[in-house]
Amino acid sequence: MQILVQQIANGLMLGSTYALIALGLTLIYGIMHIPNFALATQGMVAAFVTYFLMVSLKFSYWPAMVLSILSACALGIVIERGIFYPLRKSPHVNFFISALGLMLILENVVLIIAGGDQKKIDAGHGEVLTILGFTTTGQRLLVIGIGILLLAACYLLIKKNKYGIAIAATAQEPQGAQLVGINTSKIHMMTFAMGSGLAAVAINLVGPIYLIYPAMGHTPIAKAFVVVILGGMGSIPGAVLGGYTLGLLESLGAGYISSHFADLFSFLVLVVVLYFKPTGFFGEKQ
Amino acid sequence: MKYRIGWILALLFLLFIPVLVGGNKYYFHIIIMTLIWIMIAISINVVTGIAGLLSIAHGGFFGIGAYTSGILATEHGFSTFLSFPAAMLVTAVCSLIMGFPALKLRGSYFAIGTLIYGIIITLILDKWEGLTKGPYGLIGIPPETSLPVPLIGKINFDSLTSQYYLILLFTIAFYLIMARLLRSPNGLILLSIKEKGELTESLGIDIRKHRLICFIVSSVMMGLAGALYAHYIGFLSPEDSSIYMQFQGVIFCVIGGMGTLLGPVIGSVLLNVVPEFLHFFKEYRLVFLGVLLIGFVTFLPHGIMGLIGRDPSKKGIFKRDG
Repeated sequence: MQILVQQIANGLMLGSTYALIALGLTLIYGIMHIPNFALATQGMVAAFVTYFLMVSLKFSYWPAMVLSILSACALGIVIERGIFYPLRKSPHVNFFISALGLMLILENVVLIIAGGDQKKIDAGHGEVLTILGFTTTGQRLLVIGIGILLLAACYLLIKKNKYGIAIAATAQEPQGAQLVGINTSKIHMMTFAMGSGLAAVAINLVGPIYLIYPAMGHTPIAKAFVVVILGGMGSIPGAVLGGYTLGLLESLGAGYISSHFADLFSFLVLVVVLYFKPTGFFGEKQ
Repeated sequence: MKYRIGWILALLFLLFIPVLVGGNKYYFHIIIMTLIWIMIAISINVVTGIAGLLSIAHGGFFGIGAYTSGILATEHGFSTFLSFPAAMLVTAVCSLIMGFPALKLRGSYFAIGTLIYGIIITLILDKWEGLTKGPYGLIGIPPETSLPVPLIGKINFDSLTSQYYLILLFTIAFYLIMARLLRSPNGLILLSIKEKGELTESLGIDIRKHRLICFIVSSVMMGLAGALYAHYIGFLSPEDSSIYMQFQGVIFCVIGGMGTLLGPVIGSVLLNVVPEFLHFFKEYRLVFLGVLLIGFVTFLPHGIMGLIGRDPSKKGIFKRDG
C-alpha cells in the first residue's frame, strides 16, 4: 500500500513535467505543425539561465526562475521569427530538420559556455516531508502543485480569454481566423513563446531534483512526443491526460515490474498506441 | 563520354588513396570513416530522399546490424560469411516488423513514430546487458574473416589498407544500388509517391507496399554499413546506434542535396574531411553544423547539388549521366 502511494506521488511529479512540456509541444504543433524537437533543449537553456542568475548574480530561486522563463519566451519568439517563420511554406519534413539544427546549436553553445559537467540548482526546497505515509521533498510537491495550477490556467486561457480563443481559432481554421481579423502571424509568435515558456517552467522545476547539463533535454522531449501521440497531436486535454498517464505508468512500472527497464515501458506503450490508434485519445483523423 | 572519363579518374584516385596517404594512420582513419558515413548517408537518402520518408529509426538499424555481426563473431566465433548475412537478415526482419505499422502514419507522425523506434533500439542495446554488454560496450570484435583467393592465397582484413579497399568496394556497391533504384521503374514510382501521393494511388499503385520495400532495402543497407563499421572499429557501444548519430547522416544528405545521387557523397566528404583541416574550429563544429543545417533547409532545400544546378525537382536526376 505504501509503495503504491509512493509510486503514485512519483508518477504525479513525472506526469506534471511531461504534461507541461507536452502542452507546449502540442500547442506549437496544433498551430504551426512544427514538431519542435528542440523544445526541451530550449527549457535546458532556461535552466542554465536560472543557474547563472543564482550563482553569478546571487539571485534567489524564484526571481531567477521568473526571469529565466521570460527569457525563454523571448528566445521562443526569436526562434519562431528567425527559423520557423521563413519555412512556413516548405514541406513539413523541413521543420523537423530545422528543429534538429536548432537543438545542435543550443546544446553546443551551452556546452561551450558552461561546460559539459552536471550542475545543481539549489532551490532550497529539498527538505524531506512525510505526508500520509509517503515521503517526498518540498520541491517535488512544488512540481505537482505548480504543474496542475499552470495546466489549469492554460486551459482557462484557451477556453475563456480573447487571445486564447484566437489561438484555438487559428489552430482550427487559419484562413477563417484571418477573415475575422485575427493576426495569425502574431498568434504564431505568441503560441511559440507560450510553448517555450511552458517547457522552461517544467525544466526549471525539475532542475533542483535532477542535475542540469546540456544534453538533459533528450529524454524529456522523447517522452513529451510519446505523450503528445498518446493524447492526440494538437489536443490540449490529450496532452494533460497523456502526461499523467505516462507518468503514472512509468513510476508504477518502475515500482512493480523493473526499474532497470522503466524507460522502455513508455516507449513500448507508444508502439502499441501507434499500432492500434495512431491518432491517440483525442486526436482528429489524419 | 565526358562523365565516363570523370568516373574513371575518380575511381583511379580512390584506388590510389592508400599510396597518397602513405603511413599516416590518422588521415587513413578519417578517410575510412568518411566512406562509412557515405554508406550511412546513401541509406538515408534512399529512404528519405527517394521515398520521402523521414525515418529516424535508421540509426537503430545501423546498431542492429553492427551488434548482430559483432556478437556473432566475438561471442560465437562465426565467420564473416555467416555473420554479415545474419546481420542483414536480422535488420530486414526488424525493419519489416517496425515498418509495417509505422507506414500507416503520414508526415510528422511517421518521423515521430520512427524516432521512438530509434530510441527503443538504443535503450534495448543499452539495457540488455546479457546480450550486448550494455554501456560497457562490446569489445574485441575481430576484423573480417580472411578471404581465400585461388591464385594469391588469401586476403587478410587486419590492415588499414585492406579495410579501406573492402569498405570502398561496399561504398561503390551502395552507390550503384542507389543509382539503379533511382532510375528503375520502382524508383520512379517512389518519387511520384513522394511528390503526388494521392494521384499515384489513384493509378492503382500500392503506396504502402512500395514504401515498405524501400524502407526495408535502406534498413538492410544501414545494417550492412553497421556490420562493416563494427569489424573495422572493433568496439561497439549503444551510442553508435543513437538517433543523434543518424541526425548527422540526415545533415550530410541535406547539405549535399537530399534525393540526388551525388548529394550524400558530397555532403559526407565535405563535412568529414574539411573540419579535419580546421582544428581551431573543432569546438564550434556542431554549432556551425546546426547553423548550416537551418541555412540550407531555408535557402537551399536541395543542398549543394541544387546550388550547382542539379535540382532534383527540375528533373536533373532523371537524365542519364553517361
